[in-house]
Amino acid sequence: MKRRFEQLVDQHGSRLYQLARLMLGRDDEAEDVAQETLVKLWRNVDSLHAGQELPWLITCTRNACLDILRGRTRTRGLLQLVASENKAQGPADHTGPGDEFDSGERARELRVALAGMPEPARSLLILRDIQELDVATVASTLELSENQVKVYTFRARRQLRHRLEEESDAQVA
Amino acid sequence: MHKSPDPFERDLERENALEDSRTVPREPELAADWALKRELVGLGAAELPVAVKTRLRRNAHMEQRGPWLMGIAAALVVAVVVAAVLQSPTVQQPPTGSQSVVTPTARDLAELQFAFDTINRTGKRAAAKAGREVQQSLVMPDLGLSELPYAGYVRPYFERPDRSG
Repeated sequence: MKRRFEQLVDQHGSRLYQLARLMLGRDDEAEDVAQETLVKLWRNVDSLHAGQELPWLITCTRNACLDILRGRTRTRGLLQLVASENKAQGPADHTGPGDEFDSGERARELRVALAGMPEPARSLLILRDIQELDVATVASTLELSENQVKVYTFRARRQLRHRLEEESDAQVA
Repeated sequence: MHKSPDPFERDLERENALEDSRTVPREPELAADWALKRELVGLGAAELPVAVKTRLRRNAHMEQRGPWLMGIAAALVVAVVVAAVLQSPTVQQPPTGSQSVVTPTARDLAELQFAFDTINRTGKRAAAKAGREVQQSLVMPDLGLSELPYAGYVRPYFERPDRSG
């Protein structure tokens, strides 16, 4: 059991951490989410059949991230009421100082634009384009058909591209 | 008449084309999608921090030891209970029915009789003394004896302390 657990941590731990970082934009929260998910894995490793682990792990990680993001949205709503926060700020602007994990400006732009995407578009882009997971695993994780995964990913990517272009145009203007 | 393809089917075809394409597609929009797709690969890649791995290993180790610790604790409790039971003082058995009947001896009966007699005598003496003391303070009520015929014969009877005869 312990060996299997350690194998799964080595195999998928970094992927989960990356998913959490991209969804949350904060290293500390991403660490917490990854750790929490892997602790759950330890407790459930016996009940998981071979091949089920990755969709299960991604689902746990994604749900934990979505919980945190929902909490942030609530907090941000309150802060906006109090401080009349600048509307132009994207979701990634609320991340902490430790979120500068991509050094390039373009990478930062991509990450900010990605963080501003709605669900499940953001998760689809992370899982399909960034992590290059196969369609079947993503479909199983997000409870979609394989064709839906493909089409929604295509549309999410195009939406992201339009956002980036609009942002670029705004900066030029 | 040419029927426009279903948007879902159209996007599915485009996504399949993007996946299969090793080179930049000719259509400009699709080419931009293709470029972005390649740009996104590996964005924000990172290793799971060593600190997290260490905490996980420690946690797993602790949880694996948990049942052993519980077993040791349970064995200790059982040992203490067994020791307590074995070392407990022997409980006195209650006397059986035949042993509980006490037959008084003649001496016991004589002592009991003497005690009763003493109580009786002392009680009578205390009552007589109290009667004498109280009688002097009592006022004889007027019973209207003077109105009765032969009152002179009746009065001494009522005035006598001992009315028994």
